[in-house]
Amino acid sequence: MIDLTFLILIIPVLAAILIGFIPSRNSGLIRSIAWLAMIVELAVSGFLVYSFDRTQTGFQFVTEVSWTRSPEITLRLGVDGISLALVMLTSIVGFAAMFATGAIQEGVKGFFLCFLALVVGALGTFMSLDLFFFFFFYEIEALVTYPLISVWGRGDRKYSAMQFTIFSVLGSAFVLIGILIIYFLSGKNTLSLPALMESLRQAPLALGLQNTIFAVFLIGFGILAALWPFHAWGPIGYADAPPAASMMFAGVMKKLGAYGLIRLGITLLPQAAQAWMPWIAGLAMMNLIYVGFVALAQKDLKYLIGYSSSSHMGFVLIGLACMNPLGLSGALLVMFAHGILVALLFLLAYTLDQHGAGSGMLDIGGLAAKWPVTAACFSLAAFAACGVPGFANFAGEITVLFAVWDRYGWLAAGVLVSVILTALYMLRAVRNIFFGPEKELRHVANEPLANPFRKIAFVLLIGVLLFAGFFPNILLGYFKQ
Amino acid sequence: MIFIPEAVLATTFLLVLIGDLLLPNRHLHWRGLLAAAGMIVGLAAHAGFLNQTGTLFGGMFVQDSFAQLAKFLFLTIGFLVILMTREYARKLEKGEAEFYLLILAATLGMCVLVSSFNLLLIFVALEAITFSSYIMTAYLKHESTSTEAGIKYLIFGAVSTAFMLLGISLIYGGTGSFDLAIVRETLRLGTIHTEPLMIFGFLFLALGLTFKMAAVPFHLWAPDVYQGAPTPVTAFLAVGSKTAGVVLFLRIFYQVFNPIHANMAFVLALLSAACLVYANLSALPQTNIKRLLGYSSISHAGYILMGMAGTESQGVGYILFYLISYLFTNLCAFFVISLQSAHQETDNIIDYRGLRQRSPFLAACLLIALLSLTGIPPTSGFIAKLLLIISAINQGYVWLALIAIFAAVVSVFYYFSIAEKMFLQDPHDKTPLDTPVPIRLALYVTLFAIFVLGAMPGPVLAWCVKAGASLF
Repeated sequence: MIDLTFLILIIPVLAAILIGFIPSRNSGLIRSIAWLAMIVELAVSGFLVYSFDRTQTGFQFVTEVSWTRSPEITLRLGVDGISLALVMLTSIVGFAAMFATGAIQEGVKGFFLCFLALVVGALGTFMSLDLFFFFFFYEIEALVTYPLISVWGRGDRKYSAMQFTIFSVLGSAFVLIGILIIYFLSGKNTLSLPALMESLRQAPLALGLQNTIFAVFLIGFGILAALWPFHAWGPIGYADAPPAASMMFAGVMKKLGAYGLIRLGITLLPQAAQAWMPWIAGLAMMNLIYVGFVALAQKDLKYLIGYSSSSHMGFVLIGLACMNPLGLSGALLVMFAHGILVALLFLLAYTLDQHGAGSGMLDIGGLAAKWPVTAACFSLAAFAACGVPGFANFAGEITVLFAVWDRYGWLAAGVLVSVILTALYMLRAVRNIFFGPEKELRHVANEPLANPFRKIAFVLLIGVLLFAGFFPNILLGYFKQ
Repeated sequence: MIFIPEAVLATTFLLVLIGDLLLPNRHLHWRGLLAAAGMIVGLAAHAGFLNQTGTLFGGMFVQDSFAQLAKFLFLTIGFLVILMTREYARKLEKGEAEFYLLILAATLGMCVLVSSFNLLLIFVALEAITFSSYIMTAYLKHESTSTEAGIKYLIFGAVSTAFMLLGISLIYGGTGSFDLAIVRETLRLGTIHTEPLMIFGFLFLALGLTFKMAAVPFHLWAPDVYQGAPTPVTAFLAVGSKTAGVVLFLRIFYQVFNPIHANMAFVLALLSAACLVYANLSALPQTNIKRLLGYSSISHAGYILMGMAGTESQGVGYILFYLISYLFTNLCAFFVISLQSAHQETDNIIDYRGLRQRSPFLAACLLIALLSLTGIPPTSGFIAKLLLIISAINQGYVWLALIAIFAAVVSVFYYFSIAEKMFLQDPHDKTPLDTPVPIRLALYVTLFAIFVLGAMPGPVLAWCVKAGASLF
């Protein structure tokens, strides 16, 4: 049975195949196809959200395509409210990231092939209802990071690419071990997620075993989600990757870790999740505060955004660690909002960079007069990051705060400290870059100026944040579990 | 007409031989085309007579769906290698026609081999393949590496043949017949399969075949011969010879020696582990790409042996699928290598620096082949390895599966060091590398196969499993 989910997955695949057949000198045509694919993707994802039945629980739009009959491996796709939000996030960020691909002038064909593979990997992971394909798509995603950073990146790109890829693959290796243990212990000879959920609900594994598997998942997904102490590998990669890729890495890929913890950890191993949750809460607290301080110390805008995003994953993880519906809703809301926000921030940082400002925050100043629109957008994004009411981030963070207060009491104070830290470093960045005395730009603008259409992406991303901030109930209505 | 591919190959052989004598010199390029056309006609005719199965010559010659699938593989290999040879042949001073003749003869030998159901016929067919390969390996008379490779191949081949003959004679001593049908019945009915005579017969035969498969313990020739032989010959040995060895192994041990195979499977598991560990560790410091692929070939033999340690019929299907994936992946790599070595006169990995700038297409092809050799989705190598690992775990060889996964991780380092040189370093010499049209088409075919097998393995895998089931 073929459904919308399959369509969403196949659009970028078809675009990539088409691009594969176009000679690399037709870079204009290649670009147009990638654009078209991402626009159609956004439209179809919108339609998916529109036709999703919010009154039902469980998976919808289930597609099953038999891959091999012996052994039985089936491509099972489907979405529930959680994955729906993340599919929408991927489409929005993917579309916005296209606005940052203008500067890629060399190896256009290869770049778009890798970029589309990244999109397919993310969508496939979010929509897979089969652990085999969950891993399959995640692996595509993890491996394609290497060429994206090492070929089209900047700075010490080979080093960053190696570090970034090794950590993503290491994370996935732990996940694979966990999946294999579940496969062989469940004794059902299936990797189908709904079937495993059903069988493990009826006959849960022994608690000691669950704890072990959960620990393996926690390390694997914790690496992906930048859980402290695995927080430091991301920012270097984000800083050196081409901007479109950084947007996808920080906006979408990092959410995979949290998504995996929900899907595989909490759903399949509920008792172990209960046992491990205080640990996760403690580590997430380190994300919020320790990594928040690390972000405070950054002098480079891209590293600031990178560490701030690692720090904000703390909201998501501590929300999950509350193990109550409120915390889960808050975590999902933060995941969505933060994905959009960090993409917006990277796009803005890239715009500054492209206009010749570089990303060293101490070298630039007083740019508000020169580029008022960028300044306004950046300030809005900074407000969103600080949790100013009206933005989706506020809605998510306050929900998480309530949930933490409910479950862990005074630990909520730590969450507040993190909000203050965010305000400190974000507002300081705004002050340093856009206000104060205007400094001579060190870098000469040698790249073509930003496409004026990029404002569409700014408006779209800020619009989504505001919309979800004013009407969080619409989004929360999807998270019925 | 159940022997139609053999008939077409023999006819082509004669036509090329006569054509070479009669045609004037300016028409010489027809010889390669004729040989390639013969392979295509063979494939088409084989496909046309796919519904005909049966036996010939009093049961010596068997055509079942297993043999049919294997013949598709051999003809495809023959066709692609002839295409590769046509571009490479400019390097040969003379004797181009004989080169095609040897490839045709070896392919004919393979087709007969997979259909033979008699130990003597098997031996004759094997020697047809091996003798052609000896000559082809030493074809570059003025290059000492090629001669050295030829001699090494000859000596190892002779020793392994001796083992094999010993095995055959022990089996003959035990059962009193060369006819495998009789051997099978004798083994099935009595308790002879527990006797040392038959067990040693089995083991010697298996050891002899490890030479063709380039597996431990007769693996030592592989790196030297792969490095020294002309590139198309290396490709032919890497895919053709190995496929022939594996197919014969499956035929004899699953169909005939089933009871002994079940008892002795742990030996194969040990050999597999030895291949995986030895090959992957030795491949790490290599600097010559053909030598590297020699070690990689031993490592792939390890994966195949891992499948052979299992005794169920699905495992045979998985091994056949692995062979198909391996065939297209390796030929894809060898097409690029043969162009590069014809152009630069070198096979050093360091000379692949900046291949992306010289020819993005070739660099992309080699990259995809390397991804598939490593076993990374969505290429065919991933699903092929996965199936064998699943089958090993299902058979209780968890330790072997772990070694295989470890070997795959190690292989990332040496495969990707080539990719890193191609994509991230600057070339020494920036002359663009042209891809002739036939090679380009052949590369498209291999890429298509790699991705289709990787993304939609279902139909081909079903075919392989069905062919594997015909052995039981």
